[in-house]
Amino acid sequence: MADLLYLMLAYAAFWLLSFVLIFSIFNRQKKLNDELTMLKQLLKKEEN
Amino acid sequence: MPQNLSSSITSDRVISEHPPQFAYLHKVLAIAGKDIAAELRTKEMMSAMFVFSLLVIFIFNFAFDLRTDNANTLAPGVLWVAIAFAGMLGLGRSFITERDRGSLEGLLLAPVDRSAIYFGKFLGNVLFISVVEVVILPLFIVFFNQPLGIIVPLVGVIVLGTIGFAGVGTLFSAMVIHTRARDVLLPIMLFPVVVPVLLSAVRLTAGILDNLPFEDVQNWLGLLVAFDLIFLAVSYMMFEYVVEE
Amino acid sequence: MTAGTMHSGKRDIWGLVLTVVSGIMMITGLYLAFVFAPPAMNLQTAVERFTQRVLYFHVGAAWVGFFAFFVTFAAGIGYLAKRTFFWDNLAHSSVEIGLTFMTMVLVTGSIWAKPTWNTWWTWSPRLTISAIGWLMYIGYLMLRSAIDNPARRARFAAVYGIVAFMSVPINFMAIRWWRDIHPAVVASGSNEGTGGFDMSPNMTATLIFCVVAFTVFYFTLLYHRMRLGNVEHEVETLKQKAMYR
Repeated sequence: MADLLYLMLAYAAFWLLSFVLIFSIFNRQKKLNDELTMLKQLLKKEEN
Repeated sequence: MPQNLSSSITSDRVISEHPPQFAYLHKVLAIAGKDIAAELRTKEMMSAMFVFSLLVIFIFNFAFDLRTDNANTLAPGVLWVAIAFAGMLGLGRSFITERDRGSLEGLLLAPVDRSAIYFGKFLGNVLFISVVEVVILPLFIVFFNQPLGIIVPLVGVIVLGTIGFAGVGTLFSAMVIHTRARDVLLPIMLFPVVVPVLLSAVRLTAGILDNLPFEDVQNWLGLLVAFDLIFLAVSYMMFEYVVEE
Repeated sequence: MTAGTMHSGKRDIWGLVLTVVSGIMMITGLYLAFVFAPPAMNLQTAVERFTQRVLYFHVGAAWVGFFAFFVTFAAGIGYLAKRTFFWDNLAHSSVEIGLTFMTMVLVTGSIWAKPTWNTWWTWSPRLTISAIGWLMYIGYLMLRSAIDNPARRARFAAVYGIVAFMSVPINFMAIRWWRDIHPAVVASGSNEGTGGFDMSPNMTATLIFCVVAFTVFYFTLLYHRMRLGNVEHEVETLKQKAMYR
C-alpha cells in the first residue's frame, strides 16, 4: 500500500488542481450572472 | 527640460545638415544624453546601485565563506548576481523619474520616431549599468584575487550581458511605470525572460576565470549574441505598442 | 462555436458536449494509466514501478502547460492586430488554465522524483523550464492585476505574452546545455523524460491517448473560462452604462 503512496499523491494533486480551477470558474460565473441580472433590472427600472 | 529636447531634435540645423540616418542617431543620442545629464546632476540612482552591488558582494562573501577554494567556483555567480540586481534597480529608475516629472508626455509629443525613444532609453540604461559595472569589476578582481589578464575578455562578456538585460529591461520598465507595485513587478517579469543571458554570462565568465579553451565556451557566446540580437529586435518592435496612447 | 452560445443565458450545447467528451476521455485515460498500461519492467522496486504511472498525466499536463502558452502568444499577436476583446479574453483565459497545468507539472514531477531519484527537486531541463514558464505565467497575471485601464492592460499583457513566449525556446536550449555540464545534478544519465525505462507499445499508446485527452480537457476549460470572460465583459460594460446615466 505504501508503494502506491506517491502515485496516489500525484494523481490526487492533479484532480485537486483541476477541481480548484473548475470551481473557481464556476463560482465566478455564478456571481457574475447574479450581478448581471441585477444590473439589467436596475437599468430597466431606470428606463421606465 | 522637454523644450530643450524638442528643439534640439527638430531644429533646422539637425534636419538640413544631417542625412536621415544621422538625424535618427542624433535623436537617439539626444534622448540618452538627456537621461545621463539628469542623472549626473543628482547621481542618486547610480550611488544607490553602487552601494547595492557592494553590499551584494560583501553579503555573498560572508554567506558562502568565499575565502578559500570554492571562491573560484562561485565567483562568476557572485559577479552576475551583483550585476543583475544592480541592473534591475537601474532599469526601474529610468522611466520612473520620467513619469514622475511628467516629461514622458513631452517626449512622446516630440516628432520623434518611437523607436528612437527606445534606443535612446536603451543606450541610457546600458550606460548606467556600465558605470556600476566599472566599479564592481575592480572590486571583484580584488576580492576574488583574479589576474589582471582577465579584464579584457571579461569586459566583453559584461557588455554583451548588459545589452541582453537592458534590451528587454527597457521595454518592460516602460510598461511597469504605469502600474502599481512597479518595483516588485519588474524583477518578476524580467528575470525568467533573461535567464539565458545569466546562464551564458556565468558560463563565459567561468570559462575566462578557469582559462578554458575557446571551443568549450563558444556555444555560450553564440547563445548570448543571438539572444541580444533577437531580443533587441523584438523589444524595439514591441516598444511601439507600449507607448502608444 | 458561435458567439451566441458563449454569452450568458443561451443554451450552451457546445459547452455540454465538450464537458462530457472531456470527462469521458479523462476517465478513460485514468483507466489506461492505472490498469491497461503494463508496468515498466526494468525498474527495480515496486514503488518505482507504480510511481512511473504518474508520467502519463505528467507529460499530458506539461504538453498543455506549454501549448496554453503558445495560445497566449498567438492571442497576443491577434490582439495587437485586431484590438477586439475576444483576443484578450483568449490570452487571459489560456494563461489561467496554463498556470494550473504548469503547477500540476511541477507538483507531479516533484512527487515522481522522490521515489525515483530520491530527491524532491532536480534541476533537470524539463522541470527547470517548467518552473521558469510557471514564473512567466505569474508575471503575466501580476502585470494584468496591476493595471486598471482595460485597453492598456490588454496591450501590455499581449506584449509580455509575446516576448516571454519567444524566450522559451532559447531558455530551453540554454538550460539543456547547462545541464550537460552538470550531469551529477540530474540523478542518472538515463532518459530523464521517461525515467529510464523502455516504452512498450501499450505504454506509448496510453501516453499518446492521455496527451490527447489533456488537450481536449484544455479546450473544454478554455471554452468555459472564455464564457466567464464574456460575462465579465458584459457586466463591465453595463456598469459603465449605469454610471454614466
